[in-house]
Amino acid sequence: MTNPNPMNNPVEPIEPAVLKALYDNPAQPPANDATQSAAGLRDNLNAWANEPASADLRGRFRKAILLESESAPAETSVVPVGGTTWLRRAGTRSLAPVTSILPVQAGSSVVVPAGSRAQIHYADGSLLLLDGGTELRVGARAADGEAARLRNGRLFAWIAPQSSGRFAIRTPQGQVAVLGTEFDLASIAGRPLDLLVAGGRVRFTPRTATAGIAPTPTEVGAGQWLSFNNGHKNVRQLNSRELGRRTAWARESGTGGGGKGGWIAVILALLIAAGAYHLYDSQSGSSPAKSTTPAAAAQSSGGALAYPAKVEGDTVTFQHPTQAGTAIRYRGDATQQGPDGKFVPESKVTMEVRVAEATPGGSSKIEVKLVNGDELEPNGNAKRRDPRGHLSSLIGTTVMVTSANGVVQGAEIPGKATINGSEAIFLADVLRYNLAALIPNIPVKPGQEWDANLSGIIPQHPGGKYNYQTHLKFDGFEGDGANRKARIVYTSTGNVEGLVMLRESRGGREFQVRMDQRKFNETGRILVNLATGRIELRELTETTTNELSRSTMNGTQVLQSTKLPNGDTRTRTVKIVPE
Amino acid sequence: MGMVPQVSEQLPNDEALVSGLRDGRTAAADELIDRFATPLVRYFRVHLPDPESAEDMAQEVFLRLMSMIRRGSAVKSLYSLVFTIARNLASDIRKMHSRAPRVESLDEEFESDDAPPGPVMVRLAAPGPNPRENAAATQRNSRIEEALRALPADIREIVVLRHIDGLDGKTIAATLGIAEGTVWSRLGRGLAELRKSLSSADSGLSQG
Repeated sequence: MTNPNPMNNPVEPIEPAVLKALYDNPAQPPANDATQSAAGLRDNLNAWANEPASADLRGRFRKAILLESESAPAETSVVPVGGTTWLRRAGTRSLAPVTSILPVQAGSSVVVPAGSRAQIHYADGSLLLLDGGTELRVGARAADGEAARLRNGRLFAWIAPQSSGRFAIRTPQGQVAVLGTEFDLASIAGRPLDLLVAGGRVRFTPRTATAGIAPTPTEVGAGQWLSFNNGHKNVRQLNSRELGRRTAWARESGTGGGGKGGWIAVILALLIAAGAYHLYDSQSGSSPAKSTTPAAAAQSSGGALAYPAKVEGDTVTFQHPTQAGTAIRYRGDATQQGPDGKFVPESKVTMEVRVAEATPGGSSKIEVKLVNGDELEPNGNAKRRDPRGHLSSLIGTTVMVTSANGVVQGAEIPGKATINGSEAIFLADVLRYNLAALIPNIPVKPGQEWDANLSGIIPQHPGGKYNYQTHLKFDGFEGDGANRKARIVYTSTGNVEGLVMLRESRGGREFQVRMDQRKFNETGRILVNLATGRIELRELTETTTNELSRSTMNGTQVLQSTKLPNGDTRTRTVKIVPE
Repeated sequence: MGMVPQVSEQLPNDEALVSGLRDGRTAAADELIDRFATPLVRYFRVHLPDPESAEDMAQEVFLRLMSMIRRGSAVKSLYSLVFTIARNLASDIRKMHSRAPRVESLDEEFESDDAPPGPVMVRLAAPGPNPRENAAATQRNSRIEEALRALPADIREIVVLRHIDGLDGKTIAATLGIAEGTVWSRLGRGLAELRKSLSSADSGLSQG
């Protein structure tokens, strides 16, 4: 290969046709000086683009890849809930933005700039809410119980009861070890450490080296506030009002992602996995898949995006898409707990979420539409007034959420509602993984039956868990030609544990919407169009056995256990992370 | 010539490679690195506001890819997926660059009395066995990257699509929604600009 030095050649324009020939036929000798020069530059660029990575860099990449592969699945995820969150992996110096839920291994550092907030989710349901201005390194709990090192900043922790092992957070001043509790911890450079326990007990152990004192542990109970500075500690009891005031920041953010979009995300999430949903086939208005990147173009080079079910005779292998046109309709009822402690009907809402456009790993456009909402006041039928908007006034409107190049653009209706990117991705992924949990990805024949158990945490709500048991049967085929569909029927029971709570104000009074211990039974059928791969889930019946609360929700972490038609059992943990 | 990877000529056994990565096989990791390490680093060096973070971001792409593979995501084309992740990451970084926090404080370890938890820290690459050759190659690459970064975005995009992504003119045209003739004319302009800037850099170096 000749590589004439391009630096010594004059800059001359080259006809497009000549240049095309130069690239298409690299063996062709250049016709003149200009093309020879262009060919030289072409080859230099190719050499630059294809130069093998150094052995050191290869070693570094290999180590990182194998470490990720060999270690246990990341038990911890970072979830940005407002503003921008940054992540620095162990062994790197650069910060990578986190725009949606991202699993992280121990040793990674999370940086939340002022004005932003983020959550750290642990596999056991524990959750840390990081305030702006916080830097924290994720620890290896399995090794020493240390869940995190708070370098600087403030967090609020909801720690799930620990049946074994410990959950500890280290700060420059000392370590906070907990066994199922809620607390507020601030460790800011130049200020005393502040530890405020909202529930349960924690043990604070100063660092040995701090002020040369022995590390005498101090237990701090519910309602107590510990201040620690230069070896001097002060513990005092707070009244409930002061406790509430000091932890208000976390409770406002902890229920559904913070920011003014939190309330609608909670409502949507509550409806998602309630069983009170059905997917419907929104043929009208569905958009063809759109390729927006070279990668997407290559991936969809066979035509429109499709994840068709593979059909061989009467055997079908299903696959699990989130594809353009896929839509889900959520219908849910909720009850409310008023100041008198009684639960009363709260709302009946129907929403539709439709994937208008989608490319795997690329952009997607999601429409969220409130179809109707029957909002009830605790003592009557007046429409609800929410401090962040008027839900009833949104009926018939569509909130468009666009994910372009991986950055989800939140959509806002001024003064009414906002859905931010992570919430939108959450919706789309819950849709996909709900289906993936139910439909086997192995060849099945009509008549075969299987079980799928689905359980997981509700990351927006401390201690919140859900659990489904579903029995499914490949019931056969219906329709012909382009409308030929595989039919799966199912019965499902499920429940929600833990407190799912939403704070809101009505008529000047503050209420808590409480939804827990919901149990439900559902029968339904799933139709898969074998020509298009489109999945339709149609609810048949649903009964609720707990009248006090009538909603549940899905999470971003799913434990799947599926007894497959061939007799095998498949168990895996799925963390929903957008592609 | 065979130096430009062709999307249409996907190396065989993407499925086997993904399976190997899921199983933690060293050979699979090496194959992944063979295919993508250099293109990713080059891509980030010309697309990120801070080219010095290119290697870290290439590693981030590998880790995000591994995360997806481990949770069972379907991978139809590894090449497409890797560069989709890379493009999304670069796009996020460009949009959020002005809001990026300073990283110095991250290096202030307060726990000097015990070992850091979790994975072994991997240090940045040390100089190779032949410092002179490395320095020459590094200088050449730096000049090419600097020249590429100076190109107008629409032209740089085409040069990158052609040389890093290995797309042919027709695919580039379809991807960007422009005529194929426009692709070649812009690529011609890009090469002319590159020749000009490389030439002036060369003379500057010579004079210096």
